[in-house]
Amino acid sequence: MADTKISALADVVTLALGDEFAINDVSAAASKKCTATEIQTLLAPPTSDTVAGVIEVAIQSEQETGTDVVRAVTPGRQHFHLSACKCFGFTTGGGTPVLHANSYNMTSITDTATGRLTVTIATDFSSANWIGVLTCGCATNANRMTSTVTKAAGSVILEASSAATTLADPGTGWDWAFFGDL
Amino acid sequence: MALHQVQFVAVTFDDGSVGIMQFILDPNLPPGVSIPGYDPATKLREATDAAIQYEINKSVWTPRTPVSFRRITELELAPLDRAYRNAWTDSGGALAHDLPKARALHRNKMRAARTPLLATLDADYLQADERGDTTAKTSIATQKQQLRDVTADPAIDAAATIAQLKAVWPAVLGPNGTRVSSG
Repeated sequence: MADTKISALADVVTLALGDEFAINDVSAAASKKCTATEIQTLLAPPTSDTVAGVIEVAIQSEQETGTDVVRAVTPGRQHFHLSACKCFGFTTGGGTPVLHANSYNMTSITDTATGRLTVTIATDFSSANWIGVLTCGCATNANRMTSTVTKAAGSVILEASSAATTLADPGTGWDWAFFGDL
Repeated sequence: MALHQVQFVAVTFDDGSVGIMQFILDPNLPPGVSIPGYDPATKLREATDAAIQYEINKSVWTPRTPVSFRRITELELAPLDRAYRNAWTDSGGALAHDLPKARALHRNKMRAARTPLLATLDADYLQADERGDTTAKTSIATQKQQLRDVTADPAIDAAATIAQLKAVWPAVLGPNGTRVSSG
């Protein structure tokens, strides 16, 4: 490189990792050169369990696989992990259900009969092979058994039964949480 | 506690029964969701005919099949009696009770109420029999027959409204509860 004033140089269009910089090596009291890669490594090294630095964002497939320990999860993709709840909701009321706003990934509920509720999901599961965790609030001495019926990728029927195995409305409302692969 | 904004929709099924859908207008959705009527910018969803039909089509209703729908207000649910939920129907543009179904539910409720009473009377009868108390046995037999006859009360078929139907509750059955089984 010619001995030129910096002000006389043209701007670089795109800085490449192999581009070189002139530096003053203080410890050696000498002028030396280094690359952009070396500066990047110094200022923002790849992060690890013990080093603070640059971290790559995990994409959906990496979040779904769930084994990567060097990429970061972002809020918009955390739900793709198999262990994340994909849909939840709850109602109150012993009869006609009242749907509360504290729900997720839900588009509708339908009261179709005594002790029976159809729940419909916005982003479907990849198949009908998902897990439903279901319960319902009950009055004292009026316990209910609950079950999922006719499970599809994007909808399911919830049922509540009395001890007499007869469909019966929940005492104080439905609660559900669904897990699986989207 | 905050509630979702919902559009109530009456979904009529092929067996004449009706489902009451709460179509969520302000859903909490994951990023990137695209469903009819939903605007990601406002995070609101419009209950258009197409959006409601989409919702009905993707929902499971087994063993019934939806045949029609109409938007309703929550106020339309007020006159309906939850104790006779499985007799609800949507006819003539109004939610109502299917009285033949309601009568069947009422009889089921009577049967459920009398079952433990009959069991108690059976035990009482055995004890009276052990004592050789024929007077008590006759009395118990009469009470049991009264219980067996409750579902044959002509007032059940004569009832023209849910209120009249609920009033048909012989004292022999004890207090009338509010819940009717699905049977």
